[in-house]
Amino acid sequence: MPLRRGLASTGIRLALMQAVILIGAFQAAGWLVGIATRQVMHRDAEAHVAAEAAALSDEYGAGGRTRLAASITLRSRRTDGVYYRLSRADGAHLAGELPQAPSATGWSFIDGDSAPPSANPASNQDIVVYARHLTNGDTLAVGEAMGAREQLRSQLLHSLFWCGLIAAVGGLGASLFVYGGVVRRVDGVVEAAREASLGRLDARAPVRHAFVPDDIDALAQAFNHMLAQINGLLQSIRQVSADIAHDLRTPLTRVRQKLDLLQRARASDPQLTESIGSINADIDETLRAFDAMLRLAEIESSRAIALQPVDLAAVALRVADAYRPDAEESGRQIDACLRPAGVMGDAELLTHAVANLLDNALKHTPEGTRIFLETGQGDGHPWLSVSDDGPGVPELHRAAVLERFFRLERSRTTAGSGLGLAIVAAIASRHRARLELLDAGPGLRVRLMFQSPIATAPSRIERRHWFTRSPRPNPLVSTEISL
Amino acid sequence: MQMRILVIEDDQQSRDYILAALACDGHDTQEAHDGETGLRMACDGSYDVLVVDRMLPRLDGLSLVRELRKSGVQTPALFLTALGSAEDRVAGLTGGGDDYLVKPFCFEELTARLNLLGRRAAAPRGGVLVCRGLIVDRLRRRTTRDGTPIDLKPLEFKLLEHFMLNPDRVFTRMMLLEQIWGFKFDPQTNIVETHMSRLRAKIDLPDQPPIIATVRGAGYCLRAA
Repeated sequence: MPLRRGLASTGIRLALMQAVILIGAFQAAGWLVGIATRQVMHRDAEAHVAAEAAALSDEYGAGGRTRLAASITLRSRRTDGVYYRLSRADGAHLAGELPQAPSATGWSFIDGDSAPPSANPASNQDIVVYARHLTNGDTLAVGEAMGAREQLRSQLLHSLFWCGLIAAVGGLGASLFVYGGVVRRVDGVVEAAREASLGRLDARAPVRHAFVPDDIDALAQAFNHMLAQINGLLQSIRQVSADIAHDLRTPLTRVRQKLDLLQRARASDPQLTESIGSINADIDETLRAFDAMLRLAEIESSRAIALQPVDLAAVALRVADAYRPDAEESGRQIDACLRPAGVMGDAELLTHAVANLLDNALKHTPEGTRIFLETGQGDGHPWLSVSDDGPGVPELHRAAVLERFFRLERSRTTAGSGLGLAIVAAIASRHRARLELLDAGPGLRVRLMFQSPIATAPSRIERRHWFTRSPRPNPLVSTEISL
Repeated sequence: MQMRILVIEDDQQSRDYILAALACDGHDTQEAHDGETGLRMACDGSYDVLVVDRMLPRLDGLSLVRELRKSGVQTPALFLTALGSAEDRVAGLTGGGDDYLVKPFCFEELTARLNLLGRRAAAPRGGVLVCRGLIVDRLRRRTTRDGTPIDLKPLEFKLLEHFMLNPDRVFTRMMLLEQIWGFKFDPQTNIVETHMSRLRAKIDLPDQPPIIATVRGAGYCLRAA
């Protein structure tokens, strides 16, 4: 939704606000200019009219009514918008074209719109009128039409309006253009950050090669520099792991190979063969712990995991089938209730996680334990859980069991690297899933909560519900299933 | 079966061990100490299998196999490396390698994989597989021993089918985990051992040697005769 996104952007909001303020400012300016010009125009017209009236009064003083009427007739020939009217005391019209006689002496105003239309050019105009009585009782009125001045005023207001409109539209357009570029470039930085958070540290924010780099370029450059640093650090960590792997595995390889050759050369000696076998087993165990450490480092630091649609139920079914005979041999039982739970994930890593959880459940529970494997989806979160009815883990130790090399029994007699759950935690974190240790009352329930589901293509798993044997009655489990 | 094998490995002790052990099994071996020499020797295409270390001086193993494939030589290659990470494994297999072995390996693991690579084309095909009275019908997914039907679970059937398709070849635990279960990690439990013993209990007769024999220290192998 580009429009909504655009409105949400700070820059676009600022541009719109600017345009609104600009239009408001121009409106206020037009109003003030209108009032001011009107006042100036009136004052100007009044001064002109007063001067005309004084000049005509002088004519009257010099030559009486006759001279005044002649002068009025003469002046009326000019087309400068000044009109006159001389009338007797009884109201009879003597000279001049001013259409109506003012009702009183002094200043008055004729509204041109209210007058009936006529051929007289003076009618239908706004006219400022000054009237005075002469000494013989006649009334002299001088008026000036505002038409020309009004035209000037409206032209002024019109140009003000167009200037304002051009300024507002042009300003908005320019802002949108600039901010559009900014939004695109900020989007580039955001996109690079998102990529990087998914582990693709070779992602970079776009930087313009402008002559004068602006603040966004500076941001993008600083951000890219940071990514490069992080990438370099991760690379060197990975390099160190690879070096350690190489440097420690090579001598171990030789020890193992020499033992191999020795065993081949002395195959007839059963006692030696047995000793070598047990030494090899020890070496293998050391290597397995070492492999687990490398694997953990790899999961945590690997650049990107291949995200594909995976049905947790299919993964769980495969692992459960693999582990079931082994569990039965050791006097335990694996039950499964698998409902479709599609996630975006790495099938190999998820398989490893489920295998580690089952390994854990088999290793740390007494004989006769029932292990319950479930997958499903609730509240928009696909999940997978492994629970058992064994002794469980005291709440005090729940956070600690996720740490490396932690074991509940201090003697460390059980086989295993102590990294199993740490690996599960790392895999969960790479999938942005939450790893929860819950009380299954009795026993432990480990649950992986994923963030968002994806629709799984109809698979064999989806068409049937996977109940293998009866699910054990467990209040916690059954409430979870009904979600 | 005797194979002509080129071992490209810079570490002298590893190389000597691999050569000694392969010679012990009657294979014809040659050696190269760096990537460039290895590439030159492998280019004539006269070898059955190549054993290539990932970290080599002058030309690394991955580039070597890539170059080789570019020039049209399709000799199967097995990578050896100390790097066991999935990323490296994927890089190795997409770069033209056919299999991947992480150091340290025991000799049986190496020979088992080399045998499978070198004789890949010779695998028997067909709908019905027979071995000493054991008949596996791949289409109907039915198994009989001397006429008596045997009820196998899907995974057990898959396991048996895998062995029947590759008679007289040794499969190590790691190979089976990869090929049957698709596990690219080492589970801490005895998955393979348990499945194998269940399968054997169903297909073997008490008075006869087992169809699938245990190769001590190495893995399992179906004995055709």
